[in-house]
Amino acid sequence: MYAQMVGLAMGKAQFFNSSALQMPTSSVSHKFADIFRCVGWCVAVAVTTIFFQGVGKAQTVIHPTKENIPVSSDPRFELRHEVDGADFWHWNSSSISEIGMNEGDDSQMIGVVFDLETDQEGAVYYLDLILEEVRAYDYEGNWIGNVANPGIGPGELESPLGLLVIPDSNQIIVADQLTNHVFERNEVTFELVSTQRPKYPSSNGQLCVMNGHYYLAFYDMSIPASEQKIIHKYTLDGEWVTSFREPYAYDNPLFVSEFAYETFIACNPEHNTIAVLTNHIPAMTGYSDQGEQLWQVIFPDYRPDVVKEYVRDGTIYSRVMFEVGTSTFSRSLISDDEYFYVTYVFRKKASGLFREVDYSESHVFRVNAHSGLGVYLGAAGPEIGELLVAMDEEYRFTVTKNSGFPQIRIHSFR
Amino acid sequence: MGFGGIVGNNRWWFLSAAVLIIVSFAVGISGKFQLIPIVKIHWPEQTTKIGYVPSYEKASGKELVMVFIGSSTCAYSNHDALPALIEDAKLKLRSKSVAEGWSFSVIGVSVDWRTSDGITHLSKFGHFDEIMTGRKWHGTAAEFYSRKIPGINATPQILVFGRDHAQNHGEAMESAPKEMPIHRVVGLEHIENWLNRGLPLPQDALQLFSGTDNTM
Repeated sequence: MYAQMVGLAMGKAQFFNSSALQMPTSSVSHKFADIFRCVGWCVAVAVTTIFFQGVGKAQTVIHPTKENIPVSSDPRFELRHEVDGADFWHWNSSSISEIGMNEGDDSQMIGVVFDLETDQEGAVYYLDLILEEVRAYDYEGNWIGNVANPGIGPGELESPLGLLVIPDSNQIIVADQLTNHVFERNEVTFELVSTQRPKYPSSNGQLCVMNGHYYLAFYDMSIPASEQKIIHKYTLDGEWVTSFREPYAYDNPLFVSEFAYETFIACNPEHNTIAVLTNHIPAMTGYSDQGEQLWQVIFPDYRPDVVKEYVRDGTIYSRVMFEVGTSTFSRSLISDDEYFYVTYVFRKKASGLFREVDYSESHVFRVNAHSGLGVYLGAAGPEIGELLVAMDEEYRFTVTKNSGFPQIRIHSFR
Repeated sequence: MGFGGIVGNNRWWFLSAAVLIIVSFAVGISGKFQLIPIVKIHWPEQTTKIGYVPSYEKASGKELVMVFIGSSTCAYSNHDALPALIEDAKLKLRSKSVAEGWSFSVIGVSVDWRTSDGITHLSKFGHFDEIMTGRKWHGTAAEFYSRKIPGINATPQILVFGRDHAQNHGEAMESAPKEMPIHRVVGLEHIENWLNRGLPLPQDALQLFSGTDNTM
């Protein structure tokens, strides 16, 4: 129809053009009139083109779609950051230890902190995305040793995704390409114990452990979304037990996969509960270890950074818009004691040469793992751009680049 | 017939043309439809800055080597600001190397299937002592700098390593010089940040390479 209309319009334009050429020279007024008609038709063609291109652009879909955004039926499960609370955290810590310096020994220079865990016994482990190493430090920031290094040999990391510390066992699981390596700490050395090939390997490095099982997120694009779940439960030996949590509801697997990749999990052993949230979707859901939904919390003040689906040259593309004023969960779901802690951070305009947006104010919430009831705790760090990534009772672990280089900060509130 | 007569006979045409022009103008101003091409005019930059020039000498003793890994198909590697950063990195690393009494060289690697694409891509980054491209991540250079010297497969990337040409002296058959990885920086933002910080390198790795490491 569009082509017909444009064709018709162009035909008219040609007609008027040709008639203008055939005009007797004596009739100046008619000539003017025809010129005006031509101009009118040209403008009409332009506007028609603009209009129908606009209609074409209407094929763009904004994600998350409405059916994927849960709505709250109980205001007790709505957590807002625009409130004053008696439970506000203070960040006046008694001491701060730092890992990471501008120039120093290799063990003190950080690339990118991609995942961070503590063993709750005085050691902190982090996965460096650039260096492809897993390093161990004590709570004073002293380097203990490297758990794993890059390479293609046994226990070496090809493309590490995330890590997990198994409590009371001195064992660390590192999710690598299609495999999970299990390392055991012996004082200051780390030995490879086994390499597992899980039925559903981690796709985003999100792992958590509780009560003899570990959990990870995985979505297989080759299987229809209706036939699979995205959270998978394993024994510590790597045997698959069960799977739960419906994937993002959409018919294009590209988008289902993208949302599965941005799914974050945390385990709470106290209440045998696993919390799951997906970036761009303002909700967190609690499940039992068998996958039954226990509760759901909504974050009405969260402003999702939308994913745009668009078609170019017949191919479907997706693009996260990263707009100023939107917020992201940014791998910040953790558990400690009987709570889950979840952070979202807003984006502001960046001043750097390459970044368009940067992190601005952050908001952290504490949610009871049993009831799902939560409170707002204020900022997720003492400074803008400093974010909470782990907790161990009186210690809070943050990451920041505020000093100009990447750092892990260990805040003690003893 | 006067101008008024022309208008009078064709008032609907005038009116519709005016409405369409106003609508088009409003649509254009709103920025809703990005249909108007943006023409940018650039004058050639008059630069007097002298870039990196290879020494064209036989390497001997200790040498600091900078490897730049880019790709013609990587949007980040094609960022307009990257060539200036890479040039800056070459010059500053060379200064560091000279201060230590080491020689210096730069290797350009373009992760591309077609060698012509790789060469065209690398030509944006000034002079190199050596260039390598072809076979994407399966190429000799990409394989070596991401697997033999293990590290992340991503572009743009700068890898700094030390090479000791002196260690083979006295051997009947000259073997390949030992390469010791020193530092790796990946991503536009991280490369810029590293330059802004003065290209810091791990001190223990440098001491080990220079042979002044007391812990050995």
